[in-house]
Amino acid sequence: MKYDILNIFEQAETIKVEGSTISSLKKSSTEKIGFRRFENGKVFQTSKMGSADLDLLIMESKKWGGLGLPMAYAFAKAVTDQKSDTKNYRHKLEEFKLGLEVLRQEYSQFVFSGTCGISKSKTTFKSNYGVELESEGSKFGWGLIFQKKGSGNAFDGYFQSQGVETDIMSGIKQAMKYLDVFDIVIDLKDGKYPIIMGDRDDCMSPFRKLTESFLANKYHEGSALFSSKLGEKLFNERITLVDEAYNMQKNRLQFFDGEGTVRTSDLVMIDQGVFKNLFYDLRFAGKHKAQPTGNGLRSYNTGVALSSRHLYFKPGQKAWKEIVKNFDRCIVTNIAAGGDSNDLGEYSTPVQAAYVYENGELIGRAPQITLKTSVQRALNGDLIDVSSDRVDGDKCLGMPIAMMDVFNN
Amino acid sequence: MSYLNFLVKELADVKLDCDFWDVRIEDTVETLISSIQGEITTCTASPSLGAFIRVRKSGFWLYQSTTQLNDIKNILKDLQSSEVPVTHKKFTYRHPKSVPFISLSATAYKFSDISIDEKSKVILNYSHFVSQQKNVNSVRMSYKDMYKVKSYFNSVGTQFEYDFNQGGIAFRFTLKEGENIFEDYQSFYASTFSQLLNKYDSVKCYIESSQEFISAPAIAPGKYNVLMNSDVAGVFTHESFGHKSEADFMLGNEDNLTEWKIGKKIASDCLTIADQGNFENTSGYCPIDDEGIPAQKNYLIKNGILAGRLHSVETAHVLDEKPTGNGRAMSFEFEPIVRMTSTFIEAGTDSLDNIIKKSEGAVLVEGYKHGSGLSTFTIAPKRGYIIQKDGSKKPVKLSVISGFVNDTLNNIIAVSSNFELNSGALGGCGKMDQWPLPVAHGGPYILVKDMQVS
Repeated sequence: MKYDILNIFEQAETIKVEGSTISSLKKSSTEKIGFRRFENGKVFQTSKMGSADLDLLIMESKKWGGLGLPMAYAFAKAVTDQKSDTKNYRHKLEEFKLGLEVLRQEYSQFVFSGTCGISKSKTTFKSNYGVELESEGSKFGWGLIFQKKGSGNAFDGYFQSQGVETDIMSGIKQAMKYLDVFDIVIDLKDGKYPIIMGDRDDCMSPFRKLTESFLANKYHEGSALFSSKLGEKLFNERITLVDEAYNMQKNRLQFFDGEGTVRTSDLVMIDQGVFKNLFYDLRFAGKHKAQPTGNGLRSYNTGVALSSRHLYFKPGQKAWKEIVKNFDRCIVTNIAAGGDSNDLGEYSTPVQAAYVYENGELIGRAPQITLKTSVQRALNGDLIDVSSDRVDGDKCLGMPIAMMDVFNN
Repeated sequence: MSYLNFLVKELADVKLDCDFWDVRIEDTVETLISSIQGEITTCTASPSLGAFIRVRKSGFWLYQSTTQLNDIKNILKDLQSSEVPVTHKKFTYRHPKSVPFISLSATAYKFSDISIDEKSKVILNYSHFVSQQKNVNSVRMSYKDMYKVKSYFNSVGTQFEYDFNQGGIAFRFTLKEGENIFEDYQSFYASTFSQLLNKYDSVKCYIESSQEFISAPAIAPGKYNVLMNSDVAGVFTHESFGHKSEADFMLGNEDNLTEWKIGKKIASDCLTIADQGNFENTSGYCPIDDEGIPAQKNYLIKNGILAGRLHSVETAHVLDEKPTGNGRAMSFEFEPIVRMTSTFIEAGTDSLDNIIKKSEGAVLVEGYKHGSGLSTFTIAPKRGYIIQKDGSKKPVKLSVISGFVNDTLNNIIAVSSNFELNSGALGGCGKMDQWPLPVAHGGPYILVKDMQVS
């Protein structure tokens, strides 16, 4: 009998802010175990919260594993490795409290809510078929939403940061310039404008039909928008889209996926506009005679699913402000939640918070608008350029800046 | 398994120097099964057992979650002796005591008693059936069920224990004809496993009705009147106004109390919205919340007038209103925050036929993929149609409908007399880091003027 054990251990502390006041402290210490037993060409799985020994896991996999999953593919290559980068971020909680106090004092016309958390985590993948992997790290992250008093909205904007060495005060100072112009709402006529999707969570949204095409199963079924286009030039040559698996500086420490496939190098998906690669886990690599790419992800209690690790646009030559300096209006979105694409790749999203720049200078806030584009237009004919930095100052990631249709809501 | 007796025995004599404390134990078995193209890719049941412990001291909350139930007493003492910061809160916290609530009615037919083999076979049979339908290019099946027992005890003597079953199947399929693709899905919610069997006729019918979307044109973006079916009207209610009714967004913002003053006219006269947690066998079932406050019917809007808000005990104190039974947590790893349960628009008086007659050129939307609710809410519908002069409908492809909440509430021009409450089969509501929390929503058909459609 072969088996593997994915063990995720995390200790975390989170402080919560409500109504500009720190209201709670939460501590947690969790151990989550995903166990897989391989027998007779099948995988039997179980999971556990809290510690458990091997005998218990084998027993529970017999109880809960059911019919099992067919396994017509090989195990991940035998390898032993360990990476660790733990730091103590406790001082960040104090920095956050100081930053909040500055906001309370200087921006009393706003109400702030959010969290700041620190954590230490260790993920191990151990098997009796030669794969022994361990990554250990620590991180902190914080985010604050703000409401203008009397606006009547649940929230009017958002700022956050996640990472290793981020200076909380500089993040807060960055946000202050948006608070300063909050009362200036710039009139925008319906039409085409240069758009920057400023928030990290939203920035890949217009390209979902492209990233979905990277999944080997969807691609080979022929149900993805860009099925059968591998090797073709699809976009402007300034577009290089990369899947990063491991980055010590950015605290992406898990160098292996949920099946024990190791990848520490970047995987180029779009290279100067050309569709180059697909994501494969062990199952679909076996089925399509390809190499696994380390994109078979799973949580302790789920099966393996294909997914990106961290997709980003390779930075271009010019800073974003340099690119937009010749435009009298440029819109930088802060919250563009709830957008979607249809099957043709046409994307639309409401924009709940955005800021307007005039020749590269911040002049005010955008009204409530809706954006419309398509993955094909945004990365081709409507593309202006790819920046060498992000709005939040990160110089490792680029942003495609494209003309998009804007409608007032 | 029942843990209320354990809690009473362990904690009845605990005396702590603090404003309040409580302990909630959740014993859960969750099953996940998924398949791609008829091959099972996930098949696992996850039992979990853990407790969430809260201590309120000097106006500050201290929380800890644990899987070690024997540590609860020690954790309570540790939290109580923790140092807390000076807060700016000006009120004295008083937690109301509720009568004991015990309801273990789902025990007799819990999902976890059905073998995972049987569940897997059902999934594979459905997957095979879907793959045989016309133009089906790919099939992805998802199955999820959960049986949970919640047990609770607090420092003012409230105790409760109840259980529930929730499950569902989602059929995701891609239709392809030539180069044209249409992705669609259908899902079923159930509170017993048998309710998920024999859905073949419904699935066949649904896929047949999807065919006309394969080569449907994309809609010209712009403002349209939109006729929402009850499923979309439900998610509209949840996203557009339900989230706005969660009182924690008013903490520290007294100006919003003026903006959202109870009694203020904020919507069309034909609109009445309520939230109610005690509908059994729905995904919004929460007969008593995770702070020990029983469910009740909470009117949020009555005939266009702001009638109430959703509260935890804390937000009710701060705003000098009554707790409403909406302090909910996603699992034993999380603290209760203000959440919806079953949120719905009450039925109106117009017949659906009459509404369709006055809807020429409007966009009819049926079902939804997702929604989000901020100042501008949005819904990504599954299907859209343009209603013709004779009441017939032509399919169109669209991405999202959206609107500014304050405007849209006043732009509802008709509410139909039929009503349906819809439970979510697999997903739920997300707020902060707590997703997905099971909720239900529903309503009649509603006609809204001037919505952004694209």
